[in-house]
Amino acid sequence: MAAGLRRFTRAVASTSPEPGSRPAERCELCGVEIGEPHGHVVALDDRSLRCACRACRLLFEAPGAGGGRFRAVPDRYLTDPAHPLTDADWDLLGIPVTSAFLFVNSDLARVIACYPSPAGATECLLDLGAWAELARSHPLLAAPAADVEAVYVTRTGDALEVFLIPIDACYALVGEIRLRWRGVDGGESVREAVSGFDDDLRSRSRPLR
Amino acid sequence: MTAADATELVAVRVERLLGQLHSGPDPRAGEVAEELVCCLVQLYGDGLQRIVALVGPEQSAQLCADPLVESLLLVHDLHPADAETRIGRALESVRSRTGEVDYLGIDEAGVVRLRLRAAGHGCRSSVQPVRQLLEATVRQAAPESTGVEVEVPAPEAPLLQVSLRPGMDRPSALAGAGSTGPGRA
Repeated sequence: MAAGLRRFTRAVASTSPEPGSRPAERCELCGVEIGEPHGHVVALDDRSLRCACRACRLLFEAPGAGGGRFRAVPDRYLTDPAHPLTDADWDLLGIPVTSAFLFVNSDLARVIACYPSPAGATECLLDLGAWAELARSHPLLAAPAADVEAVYVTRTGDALEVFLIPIDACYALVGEIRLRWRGVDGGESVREAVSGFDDDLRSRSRPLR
Repeated sequence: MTAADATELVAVRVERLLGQLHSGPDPRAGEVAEELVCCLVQLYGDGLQRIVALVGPEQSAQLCADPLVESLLLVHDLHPADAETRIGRALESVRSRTGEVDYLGIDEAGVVRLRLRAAGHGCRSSVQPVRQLLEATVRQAAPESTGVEVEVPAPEAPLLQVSLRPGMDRPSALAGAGSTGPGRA
C-alpha cells in the first residue's frame, strides 16, 4: 500500500552519526572495518586512493593483480645521502615551490610534479628532460614504483632534502595543508604541518642502499 | 492490477533492492541507498506539494480520480480529502462484506477506531476476516494512520430466548454512543 513508500518521505537519520561519534572506517575494497593507521590501494582507472585492509593490500601487491588496475601502496621511506641534490639541480627542474612530489603516472607514461596548495594537489610544469638527466646521476629519483610511490622534495632554509615516500603520504600532506591554509602563503599552521611532516620523514627513512 | 497496486509493487521492489544491499558485503551501501531513495522521494514529494497548492483543492480532488495519482498523493500526505472522508468512502466500498461500520475517530497516536454494528453470526472466527478486511481497508485509505482498532459488539441474544436479558435495551446497545458514521441515513 501507499504506506510502503511513506518511510522515505521522512528525512533519513541513519547515515548521520551520533553526535560525538566517528563512523568506523572501512576497507573500500571489501567493507571490513579498519583502524588507524591503515594502508591504501591506488585505483588506476580514476587515479584514486582507496583505504584498504591488510588483506586487500597484500592482494594487490602482486603486479597485475586486479587486472593490473589496482596497486597496493608500499610503505617504504628512503633517502640517499650518497647522492644529494644541489640547489642548481633543483633550479633546472623549474619547480617554483618549496615542497613538491613527483611520481610516474603509468597511464601517461611520464613523471608528474605536484605541490600542495589550498586547492589540493596542483600539477606544475616539469622539465622532463632535466628530470631524466638528474635521475641518471641520482638513483633515488628513478627508484619509486610507478603510481604508488613518489619523490618528495622539500626545501628548508638552505637545505634541499629528497625522500622516496609512499603516494598516500603525499596526499595526506596535501589534505593537511589544504585544511590549514590561511591567507596567501598558507600561514604558520601550514609551515608547522610541513615541518612536522618533514621531521617524520627524517625519522622513518632508511638509506637507499 | 490497479494503478494503486503499482505503487505498492514499487514499494515492495524498493525494499527488496535495499535488502540486497543491506545484506551484501558493504553495509554502507545499504545506508547510502536509503538516503538516495529518501532524497528522490522527497524531491518528487515537494514537487507534488507545489502542484497541489497551485491547482487548488477542487482540481486536486479531480486528479484523485486517477488511482495512481491518488496513491502518490497519499504517500506524501497531500490528499485533498481528510482522513475521516477517505475512511468513510473506503468503508462504504466494503460494506457488503463487513456490514455497517461506525467510524469512531482517529486518536492522537493515529489509531483509527471503528465499531462493527452487527457481529454477523457472532462467533469470533467469522469476525476475524471482517476485522482484517477493515484494517486493510483503513490502512490503504489512510496510510498516515498508525493502527486500526475494531470494536465488536457482544453477540445478539439467542433467538430462543423468550425475553430480553435484564438491563439490555437492544437498539441502544447496538447503536452505541450514537455517532454519525458514513452511510447512515
